[in-house]
Amino acid sequence: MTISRTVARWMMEAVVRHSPPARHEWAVAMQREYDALDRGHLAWAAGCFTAAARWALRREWLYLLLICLVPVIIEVVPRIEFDFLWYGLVSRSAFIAFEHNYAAVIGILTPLPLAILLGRYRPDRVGTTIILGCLLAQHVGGTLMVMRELGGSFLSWWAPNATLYMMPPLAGLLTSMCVWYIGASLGARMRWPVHR
Amino acid sequence: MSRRLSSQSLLLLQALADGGSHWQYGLELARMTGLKSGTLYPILIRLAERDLLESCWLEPERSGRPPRHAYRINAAGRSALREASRGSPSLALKGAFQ
Repeated sequence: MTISRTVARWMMEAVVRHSPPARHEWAVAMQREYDALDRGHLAWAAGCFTAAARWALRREWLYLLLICLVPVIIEVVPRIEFDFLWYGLVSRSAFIAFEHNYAAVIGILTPLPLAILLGRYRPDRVGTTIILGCLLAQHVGGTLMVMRELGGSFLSWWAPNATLYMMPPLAGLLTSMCVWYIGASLGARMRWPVHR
Repeated sequence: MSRRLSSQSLLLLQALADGGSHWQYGLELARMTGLKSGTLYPILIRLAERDLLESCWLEPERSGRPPRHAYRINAAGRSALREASRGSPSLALKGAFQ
């Protein structure tokens, strides 16, 4: 079997495996036509894959948008937290000192409500939420945002004295993933209604 | 009020109408209309959801092969095609030569 036929076959298998229930019969219909082809398998499979990707995007767009907003929310929430929660109770300088002293704890716990929300919204996607939300959005996306403001590169993660949440980077990352896991799992178990 | 049918949807309905009461497979429709699979099937789905065509699984001519999904236009589809051709000279002309 040629490479193009192998790729085409993988695409068709993905179409059938990942089609939503309402489209499963149509996905099987597309595959049966694929099986009846004499030639043009890759083009047919690519077209079906595109159609299936559009179905998935229509279903998942809000979830993906929320994931993309993770680094923005994590960046914005602490900035507005003072103005809405602590204004009048503590001085801004005292708040900044508090943030500085407890930056690690704040940094690890800030995404917890978001993880709960995402876990509730998509209880079938806890694993994906952890990978996309924690690894990609919070840490890769967050690093990109910091790089834009302060310069530097991803190599700083492996610098000799690098820390994440005042721990070695790997430990910091695993701790963050645990928080996401706890949040997403809690959210998945909650019963308040989500209209989807 | 339902959305106007796109030109590609009308092309597909015309191809189904040209087949009369015969069932047609997706591959045949793709060849007749020139539509790629990624365009053809979303249109088929939309037309099916609007009850403008019928679909069924047909047993294959060759034994040992799995059933294939086949389609044909229904009365509502013919009516929609007639409605659309009233506003489209090219469609009306095609109908005149059938």
